[in-house]
Amino acid sequence: MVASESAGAVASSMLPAARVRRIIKEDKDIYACGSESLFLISRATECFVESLVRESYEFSRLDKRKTVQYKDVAKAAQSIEQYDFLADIIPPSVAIRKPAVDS
Amino acid sequence: MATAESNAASIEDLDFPKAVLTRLIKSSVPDNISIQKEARLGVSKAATVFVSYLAATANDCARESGHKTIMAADVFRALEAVGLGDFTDRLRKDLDAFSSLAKEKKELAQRARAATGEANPGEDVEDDLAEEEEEEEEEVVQEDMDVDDDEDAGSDADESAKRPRTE
Repeated sequence: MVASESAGAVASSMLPAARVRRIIKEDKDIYACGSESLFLISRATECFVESLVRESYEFSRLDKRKTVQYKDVAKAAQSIEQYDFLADIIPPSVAIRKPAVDS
Repeated sequence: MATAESNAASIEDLDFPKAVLTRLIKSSVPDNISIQKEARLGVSKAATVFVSYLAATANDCARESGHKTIMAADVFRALEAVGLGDFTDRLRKDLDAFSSLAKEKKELAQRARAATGEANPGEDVEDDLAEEEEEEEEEVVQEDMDVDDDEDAGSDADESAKRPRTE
């Protein structure tokens, strides 16, 4: 019952801080990150996931499905300019084509 | 600029806990919608890469502003830089809430310490560490890591990021 949460603001992230910190530390170019920044990056990541999932869901809706599939996420990653950095992370599945001739 | 791609191979192994991601994903869709396992894994990897991507961009902003530590302003600038300025309003409110909460925690801790009396210096190391944890500007510094200098393939960027070693 924290007063600061009454306006819909979120005072803590559901992402474990230790894990976020660990990911950031992987980057040797980063010297230090303040605790406020760590919090903001965590919260921004939550917002990002929410956004990515919503976009993915739209594609499953177009297909009249009630299950969000990998291909929906891949389409969302491809269709939104801000998600260009995900191109190699969530590539479109490549269908393996069967040979036309029977062996 | 940010090089999320070059770090991608190692950071993809640092996934968030499945339960946390699932909760986050489910809260973004209506209750009757389910998520395929592969979709969840994809989102999980994306989340990890995003942390790295945003942090690297914020780091660039910090350097551009002439400081080494990533500050809140750098993160906001980074969000604009990657085209996610829409998040800013919401996150500013969250930051206010976070700061208020941190302040409350600190005051509570101080009151608790005053109530139980001062600890003998040197005796309660754990208490001192706990106090450090509550400092508003707890920093995540590379030097805290277990770093074997000979281990990683060094690059010029690594050298400039490291503090001078004190033997």
